Amino acid sequence: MEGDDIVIRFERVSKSFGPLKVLDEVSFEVKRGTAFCILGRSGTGKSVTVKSLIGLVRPDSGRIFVEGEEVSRLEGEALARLRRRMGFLFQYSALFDSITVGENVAFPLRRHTRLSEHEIERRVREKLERVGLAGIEDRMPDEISGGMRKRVGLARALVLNPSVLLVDEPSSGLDPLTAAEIDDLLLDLKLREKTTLVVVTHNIPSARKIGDELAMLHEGRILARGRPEELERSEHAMVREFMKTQGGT
Amino acid sequence: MPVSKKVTLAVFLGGAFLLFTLGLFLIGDRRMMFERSIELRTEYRQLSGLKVGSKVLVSGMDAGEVLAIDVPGGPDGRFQVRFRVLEKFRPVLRSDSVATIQMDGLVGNKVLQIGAGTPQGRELEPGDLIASREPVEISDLIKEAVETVQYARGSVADVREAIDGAVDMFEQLTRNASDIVQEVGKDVKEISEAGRQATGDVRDLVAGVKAGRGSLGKLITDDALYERIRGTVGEAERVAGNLREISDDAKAITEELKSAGLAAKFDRVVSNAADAAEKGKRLVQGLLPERKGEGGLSTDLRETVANANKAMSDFAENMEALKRNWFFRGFFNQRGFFDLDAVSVADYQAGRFAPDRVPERHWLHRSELFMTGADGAEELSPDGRRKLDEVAAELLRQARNNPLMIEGYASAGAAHEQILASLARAAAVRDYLLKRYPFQRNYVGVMPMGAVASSDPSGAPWDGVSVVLYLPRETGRGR
Amino acid sequence: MVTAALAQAGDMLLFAARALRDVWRRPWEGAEIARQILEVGWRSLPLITAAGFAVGVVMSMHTRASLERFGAEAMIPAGLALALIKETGPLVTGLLFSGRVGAGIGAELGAMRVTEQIDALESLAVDSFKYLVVTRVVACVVAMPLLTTVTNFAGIIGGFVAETAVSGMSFALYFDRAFSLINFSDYVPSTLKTCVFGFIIATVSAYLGYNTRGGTAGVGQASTRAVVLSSILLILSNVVLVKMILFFFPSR
Ligand SMILES: Nc1ncnc2c1ncn2[C@@H]1O[C@H](COP(=O)(O)OP(=O)(O)OP(=O)(O)O)[C@@H](O)[C@H]1O
Ligand SMILES: [Mg+2]
Repeated sequence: MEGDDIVIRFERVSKSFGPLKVLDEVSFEVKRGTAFCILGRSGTGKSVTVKSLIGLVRPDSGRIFVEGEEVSRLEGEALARLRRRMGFLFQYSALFDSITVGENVAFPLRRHTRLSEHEIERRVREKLERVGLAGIEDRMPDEISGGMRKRVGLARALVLNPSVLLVDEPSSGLDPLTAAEIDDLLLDLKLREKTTLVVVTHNIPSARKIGDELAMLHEGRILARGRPEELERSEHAMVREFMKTQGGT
Repeated sequence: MPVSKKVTLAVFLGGAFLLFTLGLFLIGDRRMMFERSIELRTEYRQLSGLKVGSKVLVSGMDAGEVLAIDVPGGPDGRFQVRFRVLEKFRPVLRSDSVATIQMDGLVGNKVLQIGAGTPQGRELEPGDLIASREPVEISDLIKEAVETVQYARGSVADVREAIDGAVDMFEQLTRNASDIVQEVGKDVKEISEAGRQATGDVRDLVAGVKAGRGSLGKLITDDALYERIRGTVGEAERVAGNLREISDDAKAITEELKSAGLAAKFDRVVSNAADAAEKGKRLVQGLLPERKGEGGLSTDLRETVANANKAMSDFAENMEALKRNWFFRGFFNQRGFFDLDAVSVADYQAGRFAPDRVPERHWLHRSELFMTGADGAEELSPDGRRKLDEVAAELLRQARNNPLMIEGYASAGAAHEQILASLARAAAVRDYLLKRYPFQRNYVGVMPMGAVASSDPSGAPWDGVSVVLYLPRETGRGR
Repeated sequence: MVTAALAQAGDMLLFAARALRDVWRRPWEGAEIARQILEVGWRSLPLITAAGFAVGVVMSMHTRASLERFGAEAMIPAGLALALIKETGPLVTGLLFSGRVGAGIGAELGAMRVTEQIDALESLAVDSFKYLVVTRVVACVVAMPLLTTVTNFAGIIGGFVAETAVSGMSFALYFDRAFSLINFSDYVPSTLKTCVFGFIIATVSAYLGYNTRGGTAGVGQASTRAVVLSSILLILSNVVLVKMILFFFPSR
């Protein structure tokens, strides 16, 4: 292990919902400035994994470290402090539907910074431009499409310039061109701003493009883990099949 | 938050809060909290329900409230009532103002009424003590009246006895004297008659108070009536005292005559007796309303009682309406009010009417009561009326506030004829009783029983009427 | 079944206790509280005013019908105002409020729960309990007595309109009589007790919404149950409150 360089560490994490064992002693780590892609079929616990990284889901056993803090034990203000350095894109965007798109993106700024109204507006515009949605600040979330919502969610997750970004299926529901733009954005964040990325995706080409390391979740365990070309040569037929798919959601 | 929203918020919070404060102000204003006032005191042995917070009126105008009531240190001390009166009433309040406790309207709240003083009195300073008149409990007043009248009656009886004795003794001695004495005897009878009537009036009044309670608030606070009753009682007392004296004289004379036969003193007795008779006559004239000429005490009293009766019957009507109201029905039933019209024959026969009361029965046979009238229908015969008068006299002693059920019985004819005939009989009796005697209409019901085996010793179906008075268990002596 | 109900009751009590505790903790969430007061208070005004007015009219008619028999029409304003301020106003306001606001809170928080908006708040380092629950509790506790006051006055004015239509009584005389029987001890505790109503409505509804499970159907259920449960608890708590008020401010 290379000490400081490891930003995220999952240590033998197990999680069950009732009788259903979703994670079974899962372990992995992510280095600073790299992208970790979680693959896997529907319902295998990908979302549960990223949610537990930000403390929304508490593991039954095992430990989770982010930036040296044990997330699974943090409470209150300490947890909030850590979360302020992390961004999270929900699989279904989870925009606040009672306020405008612009207010959604501005929300973290208003809560956690003392920026001027003008500066807030500027940053909101900048982030929205970055996800390709300039000029929709005044629309309500239910007036825009699912793909747009997803990108607004991403803009909101990015607005505090987090050092760790967790994204749950960033390109699902997007057209291939926009999806590619999002991939470029994530790549840019990783390379230029040294943001650590955890990306849940079904999209193998984009995983190849962004991911430094890929992990395949299956039946509560990591079936295979490594660089894309390593997974292609995996001993598991299913992993190899998975890696052959193109596009996807 | 945009400015417009902030304004709305301020309007909402401020407006509603102002409204709340307005409420506080209105209450405070009504309680006269924002006006200068002085504190005064008065004392009472009997508070009659006056409380801290009770209103204080000055000559009938809202003027303050009772602040505190201090309990006396011992049983013979008096309650200290401290109260607040608005400064502006000071000019009318004087050291000779008198505080009375009075009833405030229908609700029956007690208020402290301060009468204005006279110009001769000095103006009051804060903390001054005002004289009080103890509240008159109408029940005490009436008890007193009844006692006095009874006393008067007793005296009258004594006088009559004594004088009758004297008459017996001297009848032979002088025809003239005997005439006078006889006249005295007659007058004395009249006095006693008047006494009885007064007692009846008073009893009516008491019963009215019992029946009407709150409605008589006006009566209680009616000073005029109070004074009138007081006056009558005083008069009766005086006459009674007078008569007692005469009777003592007469007794003494009888004694003397028995021992010595002193005819000399007889003249004095006779003239005394004549004098007393004259006085008695005057009293009787006052008491008996039938006499022509000016009203007299009794007429006034009677009028007042009649007014009170009227007020009470108005009130009774209201109560009646209230009792019929489904919401209050249970309340009234529990308190022994009866909705006689609502009792079905079946329920009645099953004994479900007033099961907690004891019936007092008067069986009256058809032959005693009815005769066949000109049109062939049954009507009350003169004998029957007399019979009913007797029964009524008996009932009146206990009838007030106790339900009176007139059961009709008829055994002739088909079933429906029996019912109709029994209803007609009961109704005839009720109408007669209600027309002649002061039974309370709503306490008198009719119940067509048809042909029912009576509890009469023979056990045969009764033919006629049974007048049943339902008495509370303690006083009942059922037959 | 019974244990589940008891467990939920206990849960709810903890939830309420947490709300009480967190009110005093930073951050105060002032802006959000203000927004909620506008939402639950200001926007309830039309409903509350109309209902209060109508209740006043109806009560006036009933009071008249009863008091007329005793020839005590003069007591109508006082009787109506006393009944309204002591009990009818607070209770009617509470029930209407639980209908409008309780359902709203239950549905809104429920929807936020099932669409992960509550999780999103958490992920943005916001204490969702403080931000969503405590603010609403405070808003309801503040709004209830104010709305009750509005109901009371709307009711008295409704009573006046009904009364003046029948007897032509003047506004000044009506108001003077209306407040003639009322004491501070009738007015202040009865109005302030509605803070408790507000607290109950807000915590019960927020509890049900905040813990919604089962998607859209769950949201509907949370909303319905919020109204039912908060109304019944409100009525029950009223019994206790009235007893307490009578204990501390015995009617003289
Ligand atoms: N709060 C929860 N309560 C009960 N079960 C849950 C909960 N969250 C997740 N699960 C269960 O855990 C399993 C994993 O869910 P998760 O959302 O992580 O799947 P996923 O891998 O993200 O699937 P998808 O690709 O469809 O998003 C699912 O079977 C789901 O039913
Ligand atoms: Mg998922």
